[in-house]
Amino acid sequence: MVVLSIAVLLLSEAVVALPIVAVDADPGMPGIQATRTVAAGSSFTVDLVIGPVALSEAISGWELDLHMDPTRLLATGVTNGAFLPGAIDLETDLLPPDVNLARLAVSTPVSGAGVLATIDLDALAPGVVVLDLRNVVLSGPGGVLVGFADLESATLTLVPEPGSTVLALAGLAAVASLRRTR
Amino acid sequence: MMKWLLLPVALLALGAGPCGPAVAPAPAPDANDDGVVNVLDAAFVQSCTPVPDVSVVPACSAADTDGDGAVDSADLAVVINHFGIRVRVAGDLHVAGIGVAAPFADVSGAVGGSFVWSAASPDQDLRAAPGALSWATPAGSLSATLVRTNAPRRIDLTTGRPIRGDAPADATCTTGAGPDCASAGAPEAANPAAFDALCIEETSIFGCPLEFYQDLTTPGFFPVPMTTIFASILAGDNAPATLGGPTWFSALAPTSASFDTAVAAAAPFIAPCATCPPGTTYFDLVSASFRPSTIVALERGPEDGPAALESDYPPGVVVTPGIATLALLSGADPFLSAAQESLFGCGPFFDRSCDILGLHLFHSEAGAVLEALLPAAELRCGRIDAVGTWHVLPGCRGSADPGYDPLVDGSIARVNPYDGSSFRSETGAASWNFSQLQARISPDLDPLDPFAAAGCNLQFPETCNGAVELLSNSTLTLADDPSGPPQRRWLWELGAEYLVAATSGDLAPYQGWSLFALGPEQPRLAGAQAGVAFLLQAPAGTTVPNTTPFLVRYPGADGATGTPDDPFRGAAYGETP
Repeated sequence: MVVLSIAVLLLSEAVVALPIVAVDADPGMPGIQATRTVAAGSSFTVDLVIGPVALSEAISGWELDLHMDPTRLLATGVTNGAFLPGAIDLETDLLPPDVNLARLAVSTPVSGAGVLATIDLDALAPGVVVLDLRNVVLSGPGGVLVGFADLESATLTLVPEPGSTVLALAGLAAVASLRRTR
Repeated sequence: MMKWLLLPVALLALGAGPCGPAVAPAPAPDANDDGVVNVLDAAFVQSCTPVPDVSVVPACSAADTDGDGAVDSADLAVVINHFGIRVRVAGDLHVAGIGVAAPFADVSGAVGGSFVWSAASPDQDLRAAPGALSWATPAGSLSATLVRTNAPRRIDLTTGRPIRGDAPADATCTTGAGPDCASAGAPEAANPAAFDALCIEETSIFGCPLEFYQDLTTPGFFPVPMTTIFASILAGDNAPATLGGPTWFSALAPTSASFDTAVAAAAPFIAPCATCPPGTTYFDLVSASFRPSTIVALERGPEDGPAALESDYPPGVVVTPGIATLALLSGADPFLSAAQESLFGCGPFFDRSCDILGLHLFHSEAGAVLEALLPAAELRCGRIDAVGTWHVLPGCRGSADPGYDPLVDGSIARVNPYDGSSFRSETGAASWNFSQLQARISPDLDPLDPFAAAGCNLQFPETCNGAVELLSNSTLTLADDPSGPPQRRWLWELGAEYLVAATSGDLAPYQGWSLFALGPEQPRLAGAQAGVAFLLQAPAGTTVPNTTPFLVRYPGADGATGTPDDPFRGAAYGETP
């Protein structure tokens, strides 16, 4: 598992000139989680994060697409992150198979690191799903393109609902019991 | 008379100039003029806000996206309202057509010119409203007028039945009899002319497996049409056990010199084997490696169709009684449901037996035909409905997909013969068989070493030219394509058709040709932002000098290039840096 810490990203700002944009599959865990196991049928969130953004390359806007398997995941909502506080919503499109987002800062450009947005997801069916970042564009003041060093996707493993597993096991046990009785 | 005198006064009163009525300028949301409306445009407009009079600050004139002479919040609103549209693609034109049968299998040729393709107006997406298209070379130019736009084939998401291209957006086709159901001659969303232009060598199965039917039914050759043989391979060459065996290949007549001659004449795409020892026959090449190791027998389900009959062959088709019946019993019709067959462009939904008349790539679903060749993570074979829900198409679903119905989608208990991995769906297994056929007759496959460590390898059919060229006729759309999924589609389901209306210099020979702009797509060249596959098709009877840029000649009926019967077309690949 690849674990990148926002703190490390911040500390390394002087060394790494260009930021990384990543999917944090498990915002409840420290650092940036590239993988997570989730029960099908459950709802959960992932974060889209960025860092380190150098002061000289401060961001005044961003856009990206988050691509996923719509047969297994359904995006149900988006909450703006703290990286661009009060940002203008240029685009919020949850039409599968992509979540398309774009935000514009209302005032001064921002450096450092933080959460761009939090995505609400429903796990529909078991399977492995890659949350893939695509078409990422970072804008500096005046519409100047800002480069990035890397895009970090995340991989989700969606497992059968615990309830259904219990039911299946109970059913099997019942069948076995019946056979023994006969 | 009085009315004419008063008209200019009236127009002036409405704000018109002396030359005609005033027309408000179309919004120009692409403020930085890079062809796409995105966050960079928004940031640019924001940085100029407010500018009460752009004539005083010329650097901000492009930020006046609504054209009212000032930059304010309304200009940002214009950007937001048009966010994501692609108003123009432009860049270099590379020489394509190096692989003649599949002109876009290799688009890395030298730059021979440039192109500009714009939307009909600066506030529209060129993919929904294509406009001006022009080419330029150092010695010539070309401009074209729009004929039609292309879109993915339309399907009822519940039944899998095809829908007319001109039907309303919410059209359905439940039984095949409704007014919106596709029928012969009805308008198509995909472009049949682009398909014909791409698949001009109709008997080639490298780039375009179409109908193998007519030219390949030759007395002395297989006594069963190749159409039937290929459909049987699609289903896994799966003759019923009651008929004595899994493969009807073994029931064919022994090879002979006359057989080889007939195959060479009728099926030139089966390349001679330079490395084979003397005495190796075409029969060896075709039949040696399919069963039992490389193709997967499909399972017959209750909703799979009846086998076609020998009497279904059109008059004049020479078949061997009994052998043909055996072949038809092992064909695609009895092993695939109507919805599954429709994904390969044939079956009851198209009133076209897959075994008698063959698959039809034009009507097929790229994501189903190509499934075995695509990366596992790539979404395929699906559409979005009117409320934004993703649907895997009927016939294409696996057990994990919503709506999976074994009667429609078939059994999924089939595994890859090499690594034991499960196919996602039964059509995935059929696609695998199709890929094996493509690989098996690929000219770069060494029949004596079909599992070569380097080069074409049956276990990895995507390594073979046949598969590469087939894939090259498909495309991956860019993000935010207004026509929506499928992202993977055939080239004739994307872009637009033009007529070359004005030319000069060395592009003058293309005057009056059809120009297909098949894109924009995810680029085939590294480092590019977008790509467009361009194909030029000549009207009948056209002659053209060999010096014409982007001209590709390919073998005519004599199988050789450089002879007078060579057909030709133009092919180029546009790259947006």
